[in-house]
Amino acid sequence: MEYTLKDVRIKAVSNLTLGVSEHESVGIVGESGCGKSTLAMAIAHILPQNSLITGGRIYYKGKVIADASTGASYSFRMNRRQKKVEGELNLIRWFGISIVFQGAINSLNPLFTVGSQMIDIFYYKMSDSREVARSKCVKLLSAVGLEQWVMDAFPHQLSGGMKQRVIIAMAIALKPALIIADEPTTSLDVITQYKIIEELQKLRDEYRLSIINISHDISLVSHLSDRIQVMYAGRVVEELPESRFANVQHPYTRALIDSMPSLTEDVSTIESIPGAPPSLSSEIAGCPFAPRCSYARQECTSPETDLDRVVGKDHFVRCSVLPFASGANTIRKLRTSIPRVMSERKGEGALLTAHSVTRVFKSNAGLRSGLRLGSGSPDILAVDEVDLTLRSGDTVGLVGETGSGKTTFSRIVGFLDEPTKGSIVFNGRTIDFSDAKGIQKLRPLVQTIFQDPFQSLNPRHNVFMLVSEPLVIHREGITDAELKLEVEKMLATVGLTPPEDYIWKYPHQLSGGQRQRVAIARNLILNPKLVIADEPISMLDVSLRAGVLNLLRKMKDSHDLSMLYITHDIASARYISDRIMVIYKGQIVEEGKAEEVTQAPVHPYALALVLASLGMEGNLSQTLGENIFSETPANSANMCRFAPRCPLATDVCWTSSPAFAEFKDGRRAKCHYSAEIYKALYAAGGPARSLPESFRLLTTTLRQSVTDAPKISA
Amino acid sequence: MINLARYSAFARYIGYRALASVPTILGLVVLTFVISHMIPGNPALTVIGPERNPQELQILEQEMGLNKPLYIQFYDYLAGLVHGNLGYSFIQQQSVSSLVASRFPASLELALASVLIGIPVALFLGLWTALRVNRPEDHAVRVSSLLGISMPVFWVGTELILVFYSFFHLLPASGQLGPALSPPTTITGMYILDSALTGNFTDLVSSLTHIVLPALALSIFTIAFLSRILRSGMLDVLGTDYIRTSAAIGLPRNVIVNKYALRNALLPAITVGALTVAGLIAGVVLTETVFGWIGLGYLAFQSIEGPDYPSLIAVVLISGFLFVIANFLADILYAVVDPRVRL
Repeated sequence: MEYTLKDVRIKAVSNLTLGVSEHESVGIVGESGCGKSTLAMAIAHILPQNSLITGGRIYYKGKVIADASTGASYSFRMNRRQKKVEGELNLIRWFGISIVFQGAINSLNPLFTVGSQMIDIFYYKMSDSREVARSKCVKLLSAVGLEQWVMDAFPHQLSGGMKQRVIIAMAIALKPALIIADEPTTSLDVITQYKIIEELQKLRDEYRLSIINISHDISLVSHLSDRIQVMYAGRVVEELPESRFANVQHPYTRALIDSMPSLTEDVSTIESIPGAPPSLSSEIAGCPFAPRCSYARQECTSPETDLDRVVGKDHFVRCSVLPFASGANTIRKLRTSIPRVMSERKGEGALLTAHSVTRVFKSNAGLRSGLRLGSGSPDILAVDEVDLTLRSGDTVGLVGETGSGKTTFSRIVGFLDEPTKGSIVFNGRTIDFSDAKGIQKLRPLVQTIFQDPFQSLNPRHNVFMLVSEPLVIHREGITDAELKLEVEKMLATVGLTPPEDYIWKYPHQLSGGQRQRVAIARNLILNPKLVIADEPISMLDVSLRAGVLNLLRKMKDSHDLSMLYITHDIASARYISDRIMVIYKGQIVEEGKAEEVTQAPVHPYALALVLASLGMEGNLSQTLGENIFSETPANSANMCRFAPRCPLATDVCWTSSPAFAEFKDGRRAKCHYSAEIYKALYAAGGPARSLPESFRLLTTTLRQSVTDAPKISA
Repeated sequence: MINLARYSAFARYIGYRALASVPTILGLVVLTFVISHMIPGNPALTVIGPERNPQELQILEQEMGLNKPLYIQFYDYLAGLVHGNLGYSFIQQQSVSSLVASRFPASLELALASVLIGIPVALFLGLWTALRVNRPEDHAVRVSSLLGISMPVFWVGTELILVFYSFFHLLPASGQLGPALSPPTTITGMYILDSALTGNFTDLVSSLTHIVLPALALSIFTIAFLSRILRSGMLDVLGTDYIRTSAAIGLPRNVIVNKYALRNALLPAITVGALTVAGLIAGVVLTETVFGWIGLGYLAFQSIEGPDYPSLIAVVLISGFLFVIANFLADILYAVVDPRVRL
């Protein structure tokens, strides 16, 4: 399958064989650009116009639906031949194959109600009357756990998770045989992801669906699928049944797994994969992964070796070296664990302290409030009395979901926004937010790395201009020669070596990982004291994430930095932070040493986050109750914000807001029951050794607490 | 219940928008006053002509209120505005209000005619080219619209007259009505509407043939500009995830294009379209001059030539006002189409 892009032919998918049988779930794993979405769109026959099938066929129930003559592209204008093909296709589309696309946020038309978009499926495809269609849609919505009012809502009135459930409801509307789920949970919060996965699992059994799961997240796919295909550079490099997941063989697959921080392993250095995926516009001889592979040999680049090898029942690997074949080593055991030296710098002064920082966003800003007209919607309490102490050299991880206030808080810490209440003390001086000049002087000391390196770098500036700009602004009188020297030194420090290869390049010529390195260089060149890293890896490809994480870890040690690491991924926070703060709806609910918070969380929300990112077997709703997915907001200041979702919530939680329960080493949690949970966890002699162990402990604690609860509230 | 809440929210939105346009109008009023009083030269002097007689000049200055302090003049001006009194045009020898009242319908008629031609054609061309991206038809339309945007209207107008009047003798070159005819009984002031209402068939035909060329000349810019915006809007929308989803569902193509995509593609066109329409009514100085169309644009031309300050100020005020109204209507239309704006 090829694309033509500005006369350059891009071979997006080559020589791929994939079969899905009834009620089977196949997972396809790969990074962006590996061809997995192209495959999905080819099956659904909705590739863009510039695509071409150069060989091979796609069958559906024994019938060819796409080959070199028909292509698999979609056009809004058709010639007669296409019309004939399309007529048949429309009998397969949604009746036979439906798709759940990545990014539910954009998969619903913003100008139409959810109901009218769902009704149209029945109205146009089944010729149902609108009334009949409506009642069918209500049933569908309830099948995915949504209420009837969603029918009349516009997409922007729903949360991300709800939208994705609507999309899933639409996908099963005509009872298809196959659903292609293209990154169905990406861009959703960790816990919401679980909801969607559980939903898909349930529907799969209920409707006997076949599912193709496409994702960059290998652990997620392994939980959802019977069989997994790993794609790299447009081809399948490994295919294996789920049962052999612990025994993956291809170096790329291993590297993918090893490059993800996990909660169960020792916090040693995660392995990063050097380089970036190859360009698909030229022919690749031999193994496409060879240039990045640490096991590559001479013969890997010769075309003959690019063949599948059978290494087990239904397990194929396209690798001629098979470095892991001999030992039955399970993943991760291979790695040498380097125990982490926690930076214990007692006595060192605080670099930055935040005292009950609060930020309120007025919902009636501007003219409306000026005229006192009101609009009925209350003000938004984005950050609610957050305290933070950051000692120099320390890294604090701030973990929370979308909308929890973590970015708002980081903006205040970075002097980019003013708190409504509370104060910030930096370097022993209280920040006066009205003193623009004074703040300007502090700016070089506090730098922010933003989430999206594709947007945070000016596309019309080259690397030299980007990295030197802060120096030009903040250090007057610097000469051009000095500037160039500084920039080159900095580029080398962040791993862009040799610097002369990069210094004149523009952002579009760099990979995501390299761009983020440029952003980091741009930050560090001013020798800041504090770096705020706002989700620095979430926009990057999986194979590039580890590299950036490792760089950040290295930098904070070598440059004696303090860092506020903001993320939704508690595992990466554990990897890089000394302390972790978990934020929920603007409030810190738990904080403590990274190891303790992630290995033995005492707040139910932190526990839910840990369990969700563990990718554990079974499901969250069984362990934590259906409420964990609830979207009911806490509607009173006199209650625990987490109560509507909490498995432990009792009367007390609904009527009084908990205060912090303080424990050892500055550990504290905002929960009425955290003292009990803490006692139960640490009675067994410190935090449990392994997470499964502590998980068992926690569940018993939870049950106990629930049974004990009435006594407490009485 | 939900619907009620939705409507009241919508009503509130309209209220805010209306209120938000008040400062703009006030600013416009103040600005026109200030500018008209900062223009160098004595307005009384231009009225009286070069043979100045100091006594007459003084009397005229007094009559025009020029000797009063500025704030009193401003108060008079405001009070006049509130009562619909725009002053007196000494050059036209009548009150500006009645002058405007007689000219405005002609301009409105011309603008409506050109909108009636322009918007459907622009819609069609925008959609048509969006579905034929990079094909010869698309390129042809692109080149023509570039021409349409860059050709000045007085040149297009002259060409149209040359072709349809001088060469083919198909359509009249100027005026609103044949020279031998008397205007229809005034109801709206718009000749086509009035003649149709009163059943004056000869007037109807004559006024219809007279409006074709100026309306065409005027609509070319609208067509060229709007069709480009619609085309790019449509292309953006056709590439979105939700349209891709509709395609994967296999909905009929006309539903996807005309229902799901078009409504989204209209959003950027609404604002631009409304402002273009306001510009049609207010800024047709050149077209009206070329075609001898006695409307507001022609009045503007006359008053600049005069110079006739009271009329000029009135024209500026009216065009400003029309833009504010057009913006307000665009805001409302936007909210009707896009639920995300109704907050």
